[in-house]
Amino acid sequence: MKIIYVYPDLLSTYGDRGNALVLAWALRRVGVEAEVVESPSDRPVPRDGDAYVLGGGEDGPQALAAERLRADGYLAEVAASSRPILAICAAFQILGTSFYADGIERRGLGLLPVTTAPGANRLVGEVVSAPIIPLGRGYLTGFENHSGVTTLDRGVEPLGRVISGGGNGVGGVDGAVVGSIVASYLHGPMLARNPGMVDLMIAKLGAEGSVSSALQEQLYQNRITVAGR
Amino acid sequence: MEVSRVQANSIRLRAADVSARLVARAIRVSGFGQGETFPGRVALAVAPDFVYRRAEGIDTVLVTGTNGKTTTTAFLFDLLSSADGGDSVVANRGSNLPGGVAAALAAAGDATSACFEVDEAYVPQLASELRAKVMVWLNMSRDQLDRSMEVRKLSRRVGEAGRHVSVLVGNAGDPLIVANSGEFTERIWIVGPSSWRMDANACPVCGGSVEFTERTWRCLGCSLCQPEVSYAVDRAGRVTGPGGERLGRIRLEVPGDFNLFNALAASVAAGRLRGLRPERFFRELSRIEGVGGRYTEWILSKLPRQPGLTTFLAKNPAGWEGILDLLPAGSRLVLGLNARVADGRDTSWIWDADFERLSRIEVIATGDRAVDMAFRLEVAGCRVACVPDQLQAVAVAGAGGAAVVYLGNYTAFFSLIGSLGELGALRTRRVREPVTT
Repeated sequence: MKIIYVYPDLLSTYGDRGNALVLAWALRRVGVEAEVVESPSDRPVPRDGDAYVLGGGEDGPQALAAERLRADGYLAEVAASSRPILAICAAFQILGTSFYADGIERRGLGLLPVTTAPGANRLVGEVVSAPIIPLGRGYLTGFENHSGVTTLDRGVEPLGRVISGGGNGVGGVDGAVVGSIVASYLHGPMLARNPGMVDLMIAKLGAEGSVSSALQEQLYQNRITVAGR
Repeated sequence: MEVSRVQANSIRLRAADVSARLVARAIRVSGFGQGETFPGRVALAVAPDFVYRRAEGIDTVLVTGTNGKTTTTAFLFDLLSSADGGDSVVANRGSNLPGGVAAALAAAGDATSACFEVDEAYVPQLASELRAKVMVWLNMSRDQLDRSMEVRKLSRRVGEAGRHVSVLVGNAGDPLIVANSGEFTERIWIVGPSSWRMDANACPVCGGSVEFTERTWRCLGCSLCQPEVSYAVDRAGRVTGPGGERLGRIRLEVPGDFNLFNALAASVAAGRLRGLRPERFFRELSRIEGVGGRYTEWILSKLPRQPGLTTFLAKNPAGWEGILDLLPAGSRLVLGLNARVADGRDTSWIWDADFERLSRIEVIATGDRAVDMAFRLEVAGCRVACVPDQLQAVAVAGAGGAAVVYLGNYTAFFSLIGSLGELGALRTRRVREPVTT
C-alpha cells in the first residue's frame, strides 16, 4: 500500500510526518507491504495512494498549500472514492470551507463542512479527549499549538469530546469525522500516541487487528497518566 | 545637597554592578546553583538600563540563530582574546537571555570587547542595548515551537536588529535570514556545507517555491535569491574569499560540517571587529574545544571496563540530524530526550528528524521522555531498549567495554553531564570555556 504524505515542504512543521511513518509501520505489522511516498507541493498529488496524510504548518506555507491543493483538485476525488485522509491542524483548516492565514480569510477545499476563524488566544499544550467513535481506548491524547477556532456545521461529528485542553476552541470538542476524512488538532504525532487511532485507520484500509507494540501501549499509558487520567 | 540626575544614574549603575558581583560571589562561595543568570537579574532589578549603560565603550559582537550559538561564541571569545594583545574580552556561555548577558557584563571588569550569544526572541532588544557593532546570524529552523513564535515570524523579528547594528555576518544559504536582512547597512554573506532546508521551502517574501541546488538557491516566484557570497567554506574546511581566491583551511578539534561554518562566521566577525583579515584567525581555531561538555570525550573510570564516552548536545531536528551524521561506527548509542520548559514541552519534533538512517542499529533511549524516543526508534527500524534513568542507560551501554556515544537535548544533556562524576568520568580532552561569572 502507498501512504501519500502530502506537501512535506509546506505542511510538515510539527512532526506530523510521524503519522505517515506509524501508519506504514502498522500495516507492515499486519503483513501488508507499505511505503510512505512524499508528495512535494510543486507536483501533482499522486493518484495511486491508498491513504493520504497531511500535517500542520505556519501561516504562509498553509495559505500556499491551500492554493495549490485547490488548483490540483485531486483530494476531492480521494474523498469521493472513500480512501482515508488524515488531516492535522493547518491541514484540518485547509480541508474546511474557509480559514485565516496571516490575518486574511482564505478559501479552503470545502471537503469538510467547517469554518475556522482567528481565536483570541493561542491554544498550546497537552490535550486529552474522549473519542466519540469507538476506538477500543478510553482517551485520545496529543499536543496542540494553534490559534484558530474551528466551528463545525450542524450535524458534523467531532472526533473527540475535550476533557482538558482547547481542541477546536469552541463547543468543547476536537476535530471532525466526515466520510473517510479524519481531522484533528492533535500533534504528538496523533498516530504515535494513540494506538486506537492506528487501528481505526488500518480498518479503514481494509486490514484488521490491533497492531500496537508494547512500547506504543506504554507511550499511550504514560501520556494519559501524566494528564491525571 | 542635590544629586544631579547624571550622578544618580551613575550611583545606580555602580550599585547594580556591586550587587551583581556580591550575589555572584555569594553563589560561588555557597556552591548553591549555577550562578550564571541570577546576578544579572539582580543587576537588572537595581538598574533596568544596566546592559545599556555597562556596555558603553565595549566593542561587541552579538551571535544569534537556532543552532551553534554557544560554540560560535566560544570560537569568537578565543579569537578576540588572541587578537587583542592582552585586553580582556567578556562573553556569556549558554545563558543567553538578558539576565545572562547582564551577569557577564557585571563581571566584565575593564573588558574592551565582548561577544554575547543571544536568544532569538531577545535579539532586537539586546542588540539595541548592547549597541553591538557586528551581528552574526547563523541559521533559522524549527525549535521549541510551543514556546517561541513560528520560525518565520521569529526571523522577521530578529531582522529588526538591523535598526541597531550596522554590520551583519549572515548565512547566505538560509532564505529566512536573507529575506529579513534589509535593515543592516553592511551585509557580509558567508556559506558553508548545510543540509537542513525543511523550514524554507516556501519563500519568506512571496510564499512561492524556493529551489535549492548544490551551490545556491532562488525563489521561483519573486526576486529573492542567494546573495553574492564573500566567504565560503567546504566540507574539507577550505575557505575561499570574495573573488573566489583560496584563503587557507580551517581545521577544528570539534567535529561537524556545521562547526566549520560556525568557525568561519567567528573568523569573519572577529576580523570585521578588529579590522583584520579572517584568515588571520584560522590557526587559532584548531585549538578550540567543546563548551560545557559538548563534543567532549570521557573515560568512565568507575565502570568495570572503563569505556570511553563522547557527549553531544542537540536541541531540534536540524541539530539532531547534524549530529547523527557524525556518529562513529561500532559505538553504542544512547539518545536522551526530555521535554521540560527549556526543551519545549512537545516532543513531536523527533518525528521530523531522520532516525531511519539508524535502522538496524542497537540504540538505548533514555531521559524523561525515553518512551517517546524509544517508540520513534522502533518505527525507524532500530533495535531499541528503553532505560529512562540516564546514568543507568550510559552504564548499560558501556558494560561490554564498547565506546558509548550519548546525544541528548538541552536539559537531558546537562543533567547527564552534571551527574557523570558518579561513573568516575574523566575528561580526556581539555575544555576551554569563556570565563564569566
